[in-house]
Amino acid sequence: MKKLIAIALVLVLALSVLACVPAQQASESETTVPATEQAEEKKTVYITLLCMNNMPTKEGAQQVQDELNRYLAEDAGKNYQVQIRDFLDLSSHMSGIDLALASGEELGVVLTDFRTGTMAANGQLLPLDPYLDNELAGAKALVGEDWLEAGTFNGEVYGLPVYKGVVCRTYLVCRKDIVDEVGFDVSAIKTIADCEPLFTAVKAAHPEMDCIVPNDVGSLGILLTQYGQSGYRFDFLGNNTYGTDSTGALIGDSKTVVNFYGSDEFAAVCKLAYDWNQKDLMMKEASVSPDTATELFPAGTAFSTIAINATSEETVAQMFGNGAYGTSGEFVAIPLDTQMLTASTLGLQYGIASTCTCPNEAADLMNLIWTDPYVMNLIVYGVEGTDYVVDADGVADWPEGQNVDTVPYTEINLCGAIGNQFNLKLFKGNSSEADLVLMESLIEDAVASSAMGFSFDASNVNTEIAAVQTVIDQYFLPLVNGEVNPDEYLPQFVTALENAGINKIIAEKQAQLDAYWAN
Amino acid sequence: MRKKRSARRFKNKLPLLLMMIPGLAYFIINNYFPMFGTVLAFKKFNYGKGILGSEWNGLDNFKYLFQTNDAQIMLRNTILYNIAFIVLGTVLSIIVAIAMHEIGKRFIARIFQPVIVMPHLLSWVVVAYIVYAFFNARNGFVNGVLLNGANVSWYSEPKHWPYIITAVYLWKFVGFNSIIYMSSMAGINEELFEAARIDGAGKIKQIFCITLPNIRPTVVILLLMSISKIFNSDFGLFYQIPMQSGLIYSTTQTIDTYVYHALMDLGNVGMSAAASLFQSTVGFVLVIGANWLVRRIDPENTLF
Repeated sequence: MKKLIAIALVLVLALSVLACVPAQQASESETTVPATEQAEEKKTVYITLLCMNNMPTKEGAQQVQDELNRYLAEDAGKNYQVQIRDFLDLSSHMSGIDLALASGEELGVVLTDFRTGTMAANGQLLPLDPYLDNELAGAKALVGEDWLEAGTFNGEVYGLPVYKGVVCRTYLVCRKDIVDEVGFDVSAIKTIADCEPLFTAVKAAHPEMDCIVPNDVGSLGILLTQYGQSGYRFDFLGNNTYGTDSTGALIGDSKTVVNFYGSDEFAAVCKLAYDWNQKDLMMKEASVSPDTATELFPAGTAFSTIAINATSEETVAQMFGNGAYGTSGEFVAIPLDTQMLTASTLGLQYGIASTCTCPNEAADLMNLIWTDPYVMNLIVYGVEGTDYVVDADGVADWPEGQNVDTVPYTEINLCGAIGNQFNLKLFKGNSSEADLVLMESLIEDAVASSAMGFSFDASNVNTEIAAVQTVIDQYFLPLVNGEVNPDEYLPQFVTALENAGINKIIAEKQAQLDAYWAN
Repeated sequence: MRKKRSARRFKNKLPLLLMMIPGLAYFIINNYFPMFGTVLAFKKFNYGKGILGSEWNGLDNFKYLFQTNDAQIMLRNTILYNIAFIVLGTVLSIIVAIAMHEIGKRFIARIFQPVIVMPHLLSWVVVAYIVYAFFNARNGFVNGVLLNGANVSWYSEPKHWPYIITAVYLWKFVGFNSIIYMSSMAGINEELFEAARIDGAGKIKQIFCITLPNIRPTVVILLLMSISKIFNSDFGLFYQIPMQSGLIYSTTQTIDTYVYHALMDLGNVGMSAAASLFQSTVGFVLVIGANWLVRRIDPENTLF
């Protein structure tokens, strides 16, 4: 699929070359057409939104955009208007932005999809530095210099991190009725290893049940229970926090970049998983199974799953009970670990696309989303009255007779993926005052990695990264899900990685990191 | 005089030429324009600088295709699977086509035809789940019923997959491909069969002496076309059917799935252009070669 898209890219690019008009100019002339009928010429800032709920209806989206423009003109006194260019779902978001940029279409504010560095190196983003002390001053003060470093690439800031409960906890979420049945005191459980007696008891009482099932397709999540502050303290140095694309990581307080998959810590995770697989405590063939907790809890074949969330154990248990994850019943959530504050945890960033013709206004819009509660609530919850209602205590809820799937516009699942999560109204069954306090304290108390502001420029080692990624895809899941014996497969994995050139990437990373620390 | 005749000839062919325009436009826009994009395979593409402005980087974009030991494996898989598909697919399609042709216009043919074409209409994702229902270790049909509760872990043992993938491919495509052969058989003059029957030729003799020689041009053309794609693989088949299980890559990884895995995160336009260019160049060389071979043996049936 990716290749098809790439081929399509080539096609589009070729066409734009043949048209003999520089794509940039072509799109400039288009943008002078105003989005809504306005007497005066106003600049239009485009924004592309990720959509993790149902796609908003056309009318719903139009209403939100109109209200946003009314607010900008009448209340905020801004001399530009906003057009929501696109709602893209998770699977097409990255390629949608790449395609639009490759064909020279004008974009404005875009989510960088955890790849600010790559996009900056590809020339897809504009540096934010000129606006940081002007239009973006409010947002800069909010997230702070330290966080901005995570969006810095070659000395220039390209990405503004989303201000939210970035530091998540890992929970073991299990069925309360079964816990009560086997009569186990879960408060004694502090780490994943403590769970074994519980799992053994559950398996004895319910042989038909798998003690751990995947919460995300393909991964049981054993690694996620041991990688944070109270575990091995991995810093994936900008790679994702699931460990599925690590090309060199820091472990503990060490300053040496190492091959994560070759570390004793990773081996220990695999050994525990393999041991439990052999004892039949975990779901078999989880790597290939399309089933997740959402299907397996209702089917009665699951006892627990591992979930990552920034909210408290009560809220997580509630979310599993109230249908937010497609499951119901009573659950207990046991916190097992807390994430480190690393460049990877701050990877959710927004930037300004290189085809933007009014970067000042785009920066100003970003600043509003990060600092103005009205704009933030409007984008995430929609228009009050139509898309949500607020009760006497100021808590938001769905309008009478409506729900998340039926309102014309809601981006409620985007609550932690844009702007400032702390500016959002509380939403019934989704967030509580206590959660916000917890999130803030998690950020405050977080163990920050010494390389938090480091971002890796991979352009010299693209060949090796491509080759290494195929090796990781081959071995990672079966090992981390305990389906194969680590004594046999782990050495094979490491050898294959070395043949693919991982050591070259690590050396490059180390050199860049040393240079980063030296500054 | 001569000028007049050629003018008339042109006039006669004018409608045909006009009819060609849409098709030609399609090919120029969709198949020839994009060829300029192949220049990307040799460039370090920068969105800001555009295609022509980006820097050249020689053959760097091709390196990752040959970087690992996997390279030989995926090349081997791609070619061997395609050879198996071409040989088995062609033979089985022809057998099915002959059988369907023999049934003729009987009522039952109207049931068979949709049934054998049906698999072709299913998307790979659906097929992948059907295969998963057969082979998964927890409650799969094969382990549970056919093997009476055996504990074979199909999705982690590479040795089974050449058979499974080939079987799935044939199940999906044989019926559809046989239609082309059937239509070619429909064009055979019935009198030939009648004469053969009068001369006492049996069914087998008729098939070998009349049916097969008559559909030979179709077979050769289809063969040549599939040879040109021998370095390409059906992405859905190799990506969806094995459920992306890493342990069986040694028998399921092909060039297309390798490129997908390699570039999923990087989104590198130059490197994916390089992979496509490589596939098409080899395909081009092979089809020219195969055509040359056909011309040596049987000049009437060459593609060009």
